[in-house]
Amino acid sequence: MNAILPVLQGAYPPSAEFIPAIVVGILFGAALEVSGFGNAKNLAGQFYFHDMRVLKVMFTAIITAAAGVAVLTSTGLLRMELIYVPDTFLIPHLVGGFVLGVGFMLSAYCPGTSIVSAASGKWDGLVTVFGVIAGSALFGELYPHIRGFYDSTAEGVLTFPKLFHLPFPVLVAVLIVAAFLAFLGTDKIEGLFAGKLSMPQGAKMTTGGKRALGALFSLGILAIIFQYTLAPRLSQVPPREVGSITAVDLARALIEEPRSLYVVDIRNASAVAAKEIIPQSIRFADIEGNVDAMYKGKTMVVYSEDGKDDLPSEITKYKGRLVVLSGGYEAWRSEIMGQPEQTYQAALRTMDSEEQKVVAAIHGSFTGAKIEAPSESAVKPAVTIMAPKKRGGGCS
Amino acid sequence: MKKPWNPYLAGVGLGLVLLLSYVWLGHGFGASGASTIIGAIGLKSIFPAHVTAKGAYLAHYFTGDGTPLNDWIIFMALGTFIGGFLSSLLGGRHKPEIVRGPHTTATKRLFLALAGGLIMGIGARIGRGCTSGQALSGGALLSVGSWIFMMAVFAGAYCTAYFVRKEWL
Repeated sequence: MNAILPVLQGAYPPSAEFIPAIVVGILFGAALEVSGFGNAKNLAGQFYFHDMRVLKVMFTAIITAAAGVAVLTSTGLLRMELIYVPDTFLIPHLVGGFVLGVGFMLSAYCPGTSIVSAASGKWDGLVTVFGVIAGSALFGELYPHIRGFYDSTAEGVLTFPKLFHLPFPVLVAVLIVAAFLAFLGTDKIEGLFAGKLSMPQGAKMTTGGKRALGALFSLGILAIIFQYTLAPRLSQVPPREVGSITAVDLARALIEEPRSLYVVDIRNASAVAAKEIIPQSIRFADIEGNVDAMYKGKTMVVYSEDGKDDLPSEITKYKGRLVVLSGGYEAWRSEIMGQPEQTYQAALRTMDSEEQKVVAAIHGSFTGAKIEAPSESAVKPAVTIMAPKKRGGGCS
Repeated sequence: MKKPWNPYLAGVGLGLVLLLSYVWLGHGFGASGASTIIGAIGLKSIFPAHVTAKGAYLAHYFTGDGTPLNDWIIFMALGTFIGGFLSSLLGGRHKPEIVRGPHTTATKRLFLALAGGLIMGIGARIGRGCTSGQALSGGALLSVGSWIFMMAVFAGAYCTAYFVRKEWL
């Protein structure tokens, strides 16, 4: 097994999301901990109507984040398409949720809070963490038998705005009202069960809490106003920005962050020799389904033979960043694969020595050629043609 | 043992962190995905051929180069542990113990915790996420599947609550 932190190995840069993911993770863990979710009693209370803080925290967090997204998107500060929304699989979500709920009640943690609980010194939390790891691995054994079910009732990205044909902020405002009613209800229910059982009682919504909800609701209303005034004007200019990338930069990206890219070959497949492709490429003809549904936060790099071909209109529907390899495969062949050799050498001569080293290392990693004095292990070959992604969301 | 925050205040905090995650990372939280990667690595060290066999569920973790640990969700889980640890220390809630109800034994509590974790691991994979990645992160984006999942989680837990009431009450 590799070292826990690939960054310590030095040979390979960690995922580009390393810093933000760890910072967001720390804040996430702290937010769960101050919610009291490091302690099973605070979670179990939810299901015996004592302290319904699971519902209160979750619902408050959801409307806060949703109101924030509504404001940011309706003012044009954030593009909704750039946020990953998990695909909907109706029956698997229903069944998976129910199964997880049963486990949740038994251990009185969910997978995320069990990590926080273990971090707070609770042995039952640590044991739950091990259970989740074992259960996830065990699912791998179950998977071949339930594969049909697992992929059934697939709806793609299905959201309530799409379902009801209503703008996102309108539904957020509705949700905030629903949350407020639910909170009043939980405070009532807690009151009914208070003192009857030996568990701590939940915290009531204070005046401050009501004010905070009122502020959120106002934000939602503001977002609705923006949606109808500002957003139409913003959407009148829909320029499809298509950037470009050089062969060297693409090679570097393929080595450093292969998972952040889709590389799409739009050349006529039959006209191209099998070996003459950029590693990790998907042929345009092999893409199944909608290009716009492929978006998973990745950048799509498109290449033709000489970089001059028009993009197929289907490709321009891709929601994420779209870039074209300048010079096309010809540039890749000469600058990275070093064929013909003279072109490669000529390209090298225009660079300073530091750049030369990097390019030589990249050249070596894609051709397998020996490199003269590369900066030690700066680059590790990172190129097998990736199997089509079938990661089950992974809670991601 | 200090009390946790008012749940509404804590909820606003959690929501703002989720918003930060959307804006900065382009996606919400994740937790059980990290367990899957660790589980896959563990299982591979025992049955290498079985795990990487064609069509096996966990095989895709090993198709790329480099370690599957080089994934945002691993870093986020690491952060979650660090954040939980620091917050419990600062909040005076850090205490090595086995949390259990007044009428149950430590062994029974640990056994149920393990069983619950195991079942959650399976459920999270069937539902393609857990309370973090599916319910919270998809829920705030108004994903239909995430809301179905979230309702089902509460339903599953409430249906089970009666049978394990002796664990807590």
